[in-house]
Amino acid sequence: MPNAMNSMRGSDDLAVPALRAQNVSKRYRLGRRRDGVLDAVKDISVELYRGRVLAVVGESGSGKSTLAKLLAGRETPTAGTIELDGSAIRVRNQRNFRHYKRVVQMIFQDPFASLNPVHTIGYHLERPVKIHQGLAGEELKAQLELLMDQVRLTPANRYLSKYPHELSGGQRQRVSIARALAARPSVLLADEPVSMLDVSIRLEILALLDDLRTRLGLAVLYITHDIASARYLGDDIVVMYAGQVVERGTAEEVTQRPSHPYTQLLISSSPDPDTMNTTPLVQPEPGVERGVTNSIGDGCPFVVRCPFADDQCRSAYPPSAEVGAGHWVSCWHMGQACAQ
Amino acid sequence: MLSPVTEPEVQIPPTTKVRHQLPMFLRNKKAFAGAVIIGFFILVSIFGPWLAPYSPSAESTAPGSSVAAPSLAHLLGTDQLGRDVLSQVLVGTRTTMLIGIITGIVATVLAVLIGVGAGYLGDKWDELLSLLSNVFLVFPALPFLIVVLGAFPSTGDVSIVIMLSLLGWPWGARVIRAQTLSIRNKDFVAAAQETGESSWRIIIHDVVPNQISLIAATFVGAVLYAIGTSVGLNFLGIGGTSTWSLGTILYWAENGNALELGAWWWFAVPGVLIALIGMGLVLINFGLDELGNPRLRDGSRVGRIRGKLWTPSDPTLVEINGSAVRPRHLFPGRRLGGADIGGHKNQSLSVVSSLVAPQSAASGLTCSAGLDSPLLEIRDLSIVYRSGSRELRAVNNFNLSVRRGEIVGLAGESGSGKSTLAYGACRLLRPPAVITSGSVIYNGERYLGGERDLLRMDAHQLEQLRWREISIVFQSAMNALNPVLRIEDQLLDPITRHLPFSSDEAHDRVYEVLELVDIPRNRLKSYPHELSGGMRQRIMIAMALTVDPQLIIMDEPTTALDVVVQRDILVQIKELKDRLHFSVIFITHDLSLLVELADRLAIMYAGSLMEVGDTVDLAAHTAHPYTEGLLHSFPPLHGPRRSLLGIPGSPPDLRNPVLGCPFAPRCRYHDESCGHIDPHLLPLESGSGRAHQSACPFPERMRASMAMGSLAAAGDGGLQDA
Amino acid sequence: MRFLLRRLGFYLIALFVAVTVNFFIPRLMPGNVVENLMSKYPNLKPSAQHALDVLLGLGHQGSLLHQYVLYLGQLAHGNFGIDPLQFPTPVIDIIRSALPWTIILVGTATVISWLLGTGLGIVAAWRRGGRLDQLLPALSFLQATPYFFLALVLVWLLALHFHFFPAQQGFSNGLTIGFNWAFISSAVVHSILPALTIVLTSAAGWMLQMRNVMVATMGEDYVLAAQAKGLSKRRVIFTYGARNAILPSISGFALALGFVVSGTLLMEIVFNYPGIGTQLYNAVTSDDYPLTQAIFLIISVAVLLANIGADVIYVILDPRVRRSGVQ
Repeated sequence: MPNAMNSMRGSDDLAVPALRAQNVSKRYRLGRRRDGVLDAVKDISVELYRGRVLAVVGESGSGKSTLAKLLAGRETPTAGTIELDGSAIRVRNQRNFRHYKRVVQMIFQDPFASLNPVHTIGYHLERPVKIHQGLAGEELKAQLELLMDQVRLTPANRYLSKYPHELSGGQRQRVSIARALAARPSVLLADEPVSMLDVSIRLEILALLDDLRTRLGLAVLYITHDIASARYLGDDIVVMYAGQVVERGTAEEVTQRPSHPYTQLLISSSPDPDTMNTTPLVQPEPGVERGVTNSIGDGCPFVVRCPFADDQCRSAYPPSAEVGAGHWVSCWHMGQACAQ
Repeated sequence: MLSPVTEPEVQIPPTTKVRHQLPMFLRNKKAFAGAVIIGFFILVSIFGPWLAPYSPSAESTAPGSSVAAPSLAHLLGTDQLGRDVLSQVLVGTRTTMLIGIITGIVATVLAVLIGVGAGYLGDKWDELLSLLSNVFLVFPALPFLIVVLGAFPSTGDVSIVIMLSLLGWPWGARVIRAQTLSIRNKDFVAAAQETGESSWRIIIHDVVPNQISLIAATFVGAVLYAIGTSVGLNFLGIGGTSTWSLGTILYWAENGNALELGAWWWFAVPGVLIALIGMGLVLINFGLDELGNPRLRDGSRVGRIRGKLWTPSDPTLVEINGSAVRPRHLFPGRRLGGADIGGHKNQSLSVVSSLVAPQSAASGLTCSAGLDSPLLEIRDLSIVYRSGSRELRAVNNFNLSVRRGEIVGLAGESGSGKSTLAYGACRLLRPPAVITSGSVIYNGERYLGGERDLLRMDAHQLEQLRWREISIVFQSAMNALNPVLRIEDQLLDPITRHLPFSSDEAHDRVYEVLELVDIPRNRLKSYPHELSGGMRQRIMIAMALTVDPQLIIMDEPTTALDVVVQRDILVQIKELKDRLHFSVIFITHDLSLLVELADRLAIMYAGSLMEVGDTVDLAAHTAHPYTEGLLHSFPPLHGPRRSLLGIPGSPPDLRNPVLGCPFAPRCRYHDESCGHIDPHLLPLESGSGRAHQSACPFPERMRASMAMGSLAAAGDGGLQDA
Repeated sequence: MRFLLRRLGFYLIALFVAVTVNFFIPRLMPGNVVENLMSKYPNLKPSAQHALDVLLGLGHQGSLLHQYVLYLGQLAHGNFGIDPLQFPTPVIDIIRSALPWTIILVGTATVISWLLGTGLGIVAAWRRGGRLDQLLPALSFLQATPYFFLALVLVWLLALHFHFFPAQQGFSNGLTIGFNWAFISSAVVHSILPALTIVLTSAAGWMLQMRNVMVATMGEDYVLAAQAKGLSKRRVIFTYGARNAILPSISGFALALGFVVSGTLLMEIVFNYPGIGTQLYNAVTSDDYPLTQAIFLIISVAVLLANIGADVIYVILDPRVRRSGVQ
């Protein structure tokens, strides 16, 4: 793959996705039995563009974190390809991986776990700068200060010599982001970056991500279970259910005109402070069956919870159909669902 | 896993820095004693041979020099060949210590290599190395050594060291592997991989430094094992008797009939020294254990409180006005008796029927007691966490009342003290938490018929009240359910404890509460780990309902769940409350949930109450900037997309006294006067007329700002710039 | 079940290793072991030589593999050869007479010390900082005392100095082994000091372990939940605390057993107790290879069986292992 690697820092053409997953699937074996498989991700295509945020929404077990790991090169897809700037990439060995990390960086959910308690903040930032930029001495110091400035932890010297446990959750997540930026990537994959933080500081971190994609022209993947924050930060939204994409479109389209029953369920279940007790707390319409089962075979996995499910839903997965400009939905009963 | 309940949310940061571990370790009394003992023996083994007055093997045939009791010439007497026991001991200690330390080093290196290798590389390597260590673990080492060294007698101490090292690594490797596995799955390893670090560097710089205390414990354990086994072999005379070690002295003593001769100095001294070395090592390992496990450590501060031993049965320390509160009976002569229990039975049964006909006994009772007298009243409650001489003020002079049949939402950021408050009010906090002021008045009419202060009850009364009157839904159902008991037994437990039910009645009751939370009966035989997260949380709610309590404290019951499941459970809670008429204190950091669920809201910040009032009032006429900040921390799903601020900054460090309003540094409306005010609740005129109170004396500043419509647009500066 | 099968696999491999080691040791020894034996014990009949050849190896049986197969065959038939020292007693008979002594003494004493230690550990954990807890340093001294040294002290003090108990042997001379009062009472009196040695040293270890695990368990949320339910102290301590805290103690049995077995071997030698440890010592010091070989094998099997027992108990007590197969 030397060619692909050369092209990693390639074009700045905004029409070409910076990173793209083309029909990727990931199947895990469960236990030793032959039938024990889990399709964590099933035939998914997503594109990340420079300066844009793609939000992936889904519940736990929907495969959204697996998708992030595939894009990050931490897992290899069982089918499909990952394309960087238009060329297919296969991350095979450590050197390959290190090269890939120069372009695609990932930040993790739990800022309390993602920093090593035995190292200082300075150490956490120095390593990627040394590895990817090969800087030392004064240059290194200047770069660290720049990074701290980018995530608004200033003055840098106050933080660099501290240990992770001396910082608050929000500050730690900023350090995590700074560490990802140290490789000077063009793609940032954020796996639930705010779900472990207090509600009061989530918005700050989201604002920081928003600011970075504008200033640095980063392509950002924002993974979340909270569709309201997906609308807040995302330009586009992809809704995942049981490893598959059920709905996609611009953030406004998906949240204001949700067309898949699952998206509708998500939106009606999300607490919305703006409704302020005016609407009584009621059970949203779908959700007859509690708990999710994955063993639906070829059919739509949502049938167990879907109010519109019929035999067609059980026998075949619905094709993706366009319901508005760039708004795609996979449901046999879109008409009914929309009418709701 | 540390959970929020046992580790209070206001946490004294753990000192994880490696270079801070040594002083901490030595501050531990046991570890210090062990270190002193081992230090002494290290000195003896370095200088001992030079200090020895005689050659240990120098025989003396002078009359009376055989098996002579201690004297000035021979401080520890002589053996039957007239050899000086003191010299033997001084020389022998070095041999024994050397065998121990060298074996310890080699075995630890092997254990680290194999344990870390297996844990980090995983898969096939793990299988192979685990197999190896498991086989070695069950291999009987000492018999094997006896056989081998008996067969090849001439090889001596060197072969003992080699054999012991080869046999001594599996214990360490086993635990190190387990810890490596858990560290490997930590995000910081994944994050290090993301930076492009090589595996070797990650192992050396990220994995191993996090295991220092475990590796130290492995080393100490290996030394202990090596000394114990080598001394035994020396005692048997297997592996040669030519070099002097503590075991060899015992060999000569045994074969020289020291016991029959009553020559205690000959066998007792080396034996006691061996035991002392061992004791030193055991104590050091004890210290390492406490270093690695905060639960073992914290209790060492507890011990005896004012002459009375602390035991977990009444976990919370109550020291009001500087003295331990003596539990007293507010109503002497009226202890829980048969009549009360009988009364309980009737009520419980009537509640069972109330499930069918909602408007029956339970609600009738509430009416008779008057709707407005609060069920629970927390007055002036203060709770601190003590760490040495330092105090962390987690809850300050807190007041809150819960009325019958209402849901009170308690909201605040992590570290605001909301869980501490709830558990403290139930006297379930463990040291180092101490309640320093206040009272918690419970006024359940079916309980002893009057007001009782929870903080001044004795342990027995408290046991009677718990769950029967106040039950709890814990935050993490997985941790709060006993992993080795079936769900059924755990549900039955409070029933058999509190209600005079027969086995059949108790089971009926269990089926009934299961039905309430929509769980099929066949789940009763399951163990907690076999259920999904949502189901476990429902079981917790069912458990809280088993004995029909008046008040249920719910500590973030839905935080770990998906939104759809969360909505489901919230709806269920509200329905159940309407049917069964219990009160709820609902703790969460997610105010957007509470706005929909709660009747009244209490907003907590830095251990103090900031604002309290009916939900409608609080939402419509927000009177505290912190409440406003929380309410505007949630991006809306409908309406225009606008940029929101959240609450920049972090909560204050509660280890330092906070002057003035604790929220002032993060407040958009603050000015100098905020640093001088004494923040206490002030009543407000608003909406429904029920008590709406705020601790902010300047609510008009917010109103003005809102009126100008600058809420969304306001920058960091806020009003004070204007 | 998977868990047990997996463990069983470990034990089979461990057994294989023990058997193989046994096979090789005499073959690696310098000189001709069997001929040495024959010359050392002239009353050995040539008829005994064949079995010794097979067990100890002389090279007459062709390739090593062939020898190994023959050797396994002998073991499978329980044929450990004839003892050269007590000719013509078969080795298996010597073991048969020694084993019950060890099993009864060590088994009983270990169970007693485990129960005692675990019980005291529970008390110490519950009453932290109490009197028992303050004895910890003294107990760690006991734990660190080698079995054989404590045995020496007890013999010196209670047998030779105060004459409370006999110092040597498993029963008084002149008695016949059988189910009669004279023998049984004598055996019991003789077993008190050895049993005391085991209990004193190993109970301390069990207690320290149980105490620490129990203290950690008492910090678990489910214990707090049990208290919040207002359950009785008894139920909280035993069903919620000790019930969980005991699991590491059982899974740690394998680790401790090695020490107990080793310790008791040495202890038997001090008391000249007619058990397997004394036999092993005598066999090793008098170059009685067939007996050495057989005893080592028996000890290995006994340790493995005890471990299997501990595993079964563990699986019964911990539902997580029972269903998922992971520990």
